[in-house]
Amino acid sequence: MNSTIGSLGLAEFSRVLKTSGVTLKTGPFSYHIKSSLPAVQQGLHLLYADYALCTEAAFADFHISMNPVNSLRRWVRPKIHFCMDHKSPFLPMPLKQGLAFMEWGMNWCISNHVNDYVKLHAAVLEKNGRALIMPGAPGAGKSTLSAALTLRGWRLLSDEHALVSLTGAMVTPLCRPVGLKNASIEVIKGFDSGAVIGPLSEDTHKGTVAHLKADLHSDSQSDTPVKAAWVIFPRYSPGSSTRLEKKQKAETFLSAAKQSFNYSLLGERGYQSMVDLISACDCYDFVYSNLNEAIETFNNLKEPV
Amino acid sequence: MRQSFCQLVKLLRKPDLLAVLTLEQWDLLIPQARHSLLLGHLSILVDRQGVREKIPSVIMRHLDSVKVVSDKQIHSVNWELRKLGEAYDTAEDSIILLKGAAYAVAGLQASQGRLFSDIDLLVSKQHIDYVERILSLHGWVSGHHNDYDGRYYRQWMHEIPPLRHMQRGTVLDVHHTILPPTGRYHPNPQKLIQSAREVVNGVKVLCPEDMVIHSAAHLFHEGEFEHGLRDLVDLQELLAQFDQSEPGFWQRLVPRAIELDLLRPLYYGLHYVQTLLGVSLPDEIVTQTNAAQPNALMRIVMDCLFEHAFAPDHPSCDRALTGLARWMLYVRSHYLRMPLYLLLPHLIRKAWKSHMDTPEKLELNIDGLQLPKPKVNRWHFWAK
Amino acid sequence: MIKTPDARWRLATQDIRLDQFESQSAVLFHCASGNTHLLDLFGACLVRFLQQGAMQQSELVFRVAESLNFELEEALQVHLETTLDSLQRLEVIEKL
Repeated sequence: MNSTIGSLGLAEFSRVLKTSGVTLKTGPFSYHIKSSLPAVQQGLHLLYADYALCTEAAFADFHISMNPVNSLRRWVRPKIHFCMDHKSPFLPMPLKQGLAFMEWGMNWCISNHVNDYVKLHAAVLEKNGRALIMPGAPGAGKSTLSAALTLRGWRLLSDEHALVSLTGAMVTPLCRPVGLKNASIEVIKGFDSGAVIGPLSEDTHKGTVAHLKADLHSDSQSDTPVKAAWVIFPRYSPGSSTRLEKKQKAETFLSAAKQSFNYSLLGERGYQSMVDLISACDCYDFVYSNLNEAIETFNNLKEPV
Repeated sequence: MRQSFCQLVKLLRKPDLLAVLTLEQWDLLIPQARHSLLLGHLSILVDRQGVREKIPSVIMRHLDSVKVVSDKQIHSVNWELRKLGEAYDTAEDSIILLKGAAYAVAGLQASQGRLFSDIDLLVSKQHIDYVERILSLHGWVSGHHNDYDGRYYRQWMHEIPPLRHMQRGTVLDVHHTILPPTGRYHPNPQKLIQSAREVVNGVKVLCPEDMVIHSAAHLFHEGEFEHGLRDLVDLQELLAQFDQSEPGFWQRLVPRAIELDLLRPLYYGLHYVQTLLGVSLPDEIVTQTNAAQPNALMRIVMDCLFEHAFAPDHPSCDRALTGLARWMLYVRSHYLRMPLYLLLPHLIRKAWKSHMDTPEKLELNIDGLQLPKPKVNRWHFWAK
Repeated sequence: MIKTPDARWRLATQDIRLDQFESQSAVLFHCASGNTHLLDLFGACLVRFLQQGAMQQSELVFRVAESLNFELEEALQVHLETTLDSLQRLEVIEKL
């Protein structure tokens, strides 16, 4: 029977998450998650409400947990551990960063353990069956832009990882909440009052972080690959006009490869993957300051010939 | 020895089980193998058994993803070798690679699917300062170590502090013998160097018997067994290969171990590949190495300790005495490395350090993502 | 920089990949090192000629200028020599 996480009450969901755990499938990957932290329980219950509820999966790709550190410290400045397969690869974080830490940890699982795709640090969205890839240098405003596009009819395929096939320029969806930071939280709340945004994680190394529920399409849960059509490097520049400028493909190749977790690791296979991707796509630099104008520009994108 | 309940060890003993594992069994096996650095090895076993089509792709992706890393490391070490060859060029001596890097460069089956982090080199003690200077001229520099660590490495152990290449990030561990000079065993490094075999361009690896003996000695002098099972699998792979490809290997093995004064570690190595991994050995080898076995009581104690120590570091394999066993072996290995008057202060200092910091742990950055340094260069050429 | 009057160049390895998506620049993958490089149109053209076989520098420079429709002025000559040096450092090409 296909019930969803949201169909379970928060109290019951929290109890299950604390005891036997829940298996969550996002794109092609499944996480078995356990946590006794209220912020994580509430955050997952809200942001993944429409994801399938699975409590008895035979297999999960990653077994993760987030729980308080057991020490005298927990009375003074409580800290939490993220564990994958019962090992804690990170230093403990403050309790109030719980949900952000969980999302980061889930990203880390992918960026460190998956090599059947070329993984780019990029947002990916889909319109009319074609994928737009936005590689994300820090501070470029990629997350704000991809949140806005998601709220205006684009299907979010991924907020952090573009999973590019080794041949054929296909991108596999990995839909998870969009991480928003600091001012962009209010920007998105103002942009769309119906946006469902999870609890705040404060005082992280990126400031305040919150997550937008992004699975707004009926096939948001799908992991069917989508053919790539555009590679666009966004840059938010306050007060600037909206400008979409063609970018040299060879330059795009290198800029995108620099935003990859495993391009070099894959050697010649990585190179071939990028050749296929860049050949199939129109490539641009994009500068903007107005979200509505940005969305209009993207809505007018033509498919590559 | 009692049969281990651990899924991974069962599989290493009987790889034909791979084809019939359930998803629930894989769910346990993959974390165990990941912790033990044997996930890539499982990918190799799958191909050796010819059962790739029988295993779901959700499973194979994990095994193959690690093999990607392993393949890249083999590729990188071969490139690094060229650079080392350019840097280090003396007529009297050669570079001798050890362990993982050696297996990779020599194309041994032990290198397939195997991960290694550093490149271990053996050079003569009288050349070590020269080597360090030459390497630094070509970009390999010593990391930040405090005085204590530097002394620990140079004076008491058998290596200089690790050297890291400033651009490529590769790490070289340069040794002048294979075991600490302060320890109980003193294998003559010159003998190892003289018997080494060239694989390419002045780069050598140990001869087969020495490779096996070194693997056993390294494992049974180490204190930290997080990768003990992987090292035992190394030994298993080396023995399987040399049994087939090296005429006279078994006849040379024990006399060489005696010559190097390493018969006891070889005994342990062969004993545990046999009992834990089910490897069958020629009877006369077992008889000869048993000459170096400890007394009956000690054998029981060591079997118990090592059985715990070799279990993957995963809760599914933990038992009541696992932590104690690991600690006892840690102390033992340091006792083998240094006399008691040095050992106690060292252990106290190390316990204090581990309480104060956890150097292996990562700091999260950029949304939990660690972007590696890409091997991508921009050469801005002139364009009209 | 002092140059041999007319060096003879060839590819150091056949194990490279060169892809030119548009006219202005290209990417080159050096398989042995695993490194990827961005080349301008001149660098790409030099490599393409050497892929056909070894060549004297004078002839190489002339053919590149001609095929790209440039006058072989001194500035271009210097740039091509610099490019050859860089390709040599990257171990893509070597002197005979």
